[in-house]
Amino acid sequence: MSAGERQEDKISRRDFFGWVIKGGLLATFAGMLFPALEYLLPVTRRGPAVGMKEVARVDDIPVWGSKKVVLGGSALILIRTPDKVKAFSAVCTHLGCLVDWEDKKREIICPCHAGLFDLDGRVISGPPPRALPSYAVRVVDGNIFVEL
Amino acid sequence: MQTLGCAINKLVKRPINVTFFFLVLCLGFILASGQRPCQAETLAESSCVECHSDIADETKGSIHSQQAISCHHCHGGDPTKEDQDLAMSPEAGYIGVPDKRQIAERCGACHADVETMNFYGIRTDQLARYKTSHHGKKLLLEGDTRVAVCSDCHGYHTVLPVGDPASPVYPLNLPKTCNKCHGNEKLMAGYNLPSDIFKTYESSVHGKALFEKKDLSVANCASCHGSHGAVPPGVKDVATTCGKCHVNERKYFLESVHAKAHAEGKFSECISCHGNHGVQKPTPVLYEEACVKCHEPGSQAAGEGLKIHEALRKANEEFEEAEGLVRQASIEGIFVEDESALLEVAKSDLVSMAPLQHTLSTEKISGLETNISSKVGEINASIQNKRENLKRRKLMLIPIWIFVFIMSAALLGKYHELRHKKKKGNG
Repeated sequence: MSAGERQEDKISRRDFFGWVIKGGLLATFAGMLFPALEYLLPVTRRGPAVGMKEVARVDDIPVWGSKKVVLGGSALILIRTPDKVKAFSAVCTHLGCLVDWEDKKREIICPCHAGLFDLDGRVISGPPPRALPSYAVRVVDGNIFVEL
Repeated sequence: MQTLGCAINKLVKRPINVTFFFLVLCLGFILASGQRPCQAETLAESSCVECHSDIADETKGSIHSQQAISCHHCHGGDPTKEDQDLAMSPEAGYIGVPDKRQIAERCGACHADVETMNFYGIRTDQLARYKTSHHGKKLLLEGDTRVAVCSDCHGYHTVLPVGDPASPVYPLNLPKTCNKCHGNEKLMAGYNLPSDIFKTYESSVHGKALFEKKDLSVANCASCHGSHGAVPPGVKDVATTCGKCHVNERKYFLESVHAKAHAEGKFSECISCHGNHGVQKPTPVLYEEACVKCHEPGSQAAGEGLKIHEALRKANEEFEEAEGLVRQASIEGIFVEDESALLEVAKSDLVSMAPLQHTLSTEKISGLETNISSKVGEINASIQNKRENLKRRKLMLIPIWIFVFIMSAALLGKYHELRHKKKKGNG
């Protein structure tokens, strides 16, 4: 190996630190790019307000129909009336069974012990000790957002 | 026209123009609405107070006093008379302390009168119901004055609305009120009735819910026996009584093989397995204890019961295990929102097993147990998967730390190189 080649090798070893640093910084900045890009996405994909989560589309639920969704580790029941969508906890306040929507009677019923709730979640009859918790709902561009 | 007479009596003392105006107004009001505005002399106007001021004080908080129902409505007499002999004369209808039969009649005079009670929104069938009760029949047909009448439960001078927590018939107080007589061993012995029902009830699931949790909706004496029409529910009525609250249990029972035996009067629905006053929170163990009361141990029927017992026990165990797993995963820092939702579904199935078991259908119970088992399996698999992911993430820390180490070494190398260059330049 000539002296000139050894010199080139030495220069390469020096430059090696520079390339590692450049590569490392590039990788670090690339990692930072993902959250930045996510931040710049249209706000409607995250919800119209802080804490609101998209749970379903209005088209998924017929008028006077219902749909159960999971949000925050718990089941919610969405009920669509001609003019709005309502959201209640789907967990009966009696012993924790999941409630169903009776579209013909327009009542929420707990199949376990026949507890009945009205369209505002209030107890009509049966053993439930209190109303079903209700949640704020907003519909934006056909998407249903619920705030827990 | 006693009411009109009262109005006139009161108004004659006023100046003629005012009297005339109010007389016309009062008459118009009576004709227009049919109300009877002067049904009572108020205590302030009653001559009874002159001697019985202590009793007058007692009545001040009562619902009757607030509605201007005064002494003479129960005791008779004429409180407008200043003279004691005239006020308390038989001619004035004075009866003194009413006996039990008179109490029922006196209370009924207003409380069975639809027109009077209409404005208070109180039902008027209490007297009619009382007449059908064992208390009423004993008193009114047999003249037995040891039985309860209105005042024994509601009190007399200090009658409070049923919704008043101080009322003896407020749900929280009612069992103790009934126990005043039904806990009296000597009195109950005369009717061949037990005197320990209150103690039994107090330790029951209903009693605990009432006295410990203050749950006013829970069954008390009147819920099953009736209040004014109190009778012991018969074999066939028990189911109706319990079924008022336990709707699904009754519905499913009617699908069971026991429904036929019940219809034939061979089986007392509810009580045969759960008992009555001392009903405890049912557990699967009941299948080991209750079935063999009628069925031979080892028989097919007892075996079916044990199969249901086993399905319930297994479902409970599996659910508790899954619940513990989700809790533990949450403590470990794993997000368990999906698993919590699955747990809710499994819990819903588990809770619905309780009423469904009254069908005594091993097929239906096992079906639910299979559902629970499946959900528990999903929860286990999901949490296992998340734990594996977490493990992989932890392993990923190794290359990250290597990267950090290399970067640190490279920066240190660059630092030395620049320092060396600087020294060389200065030299």
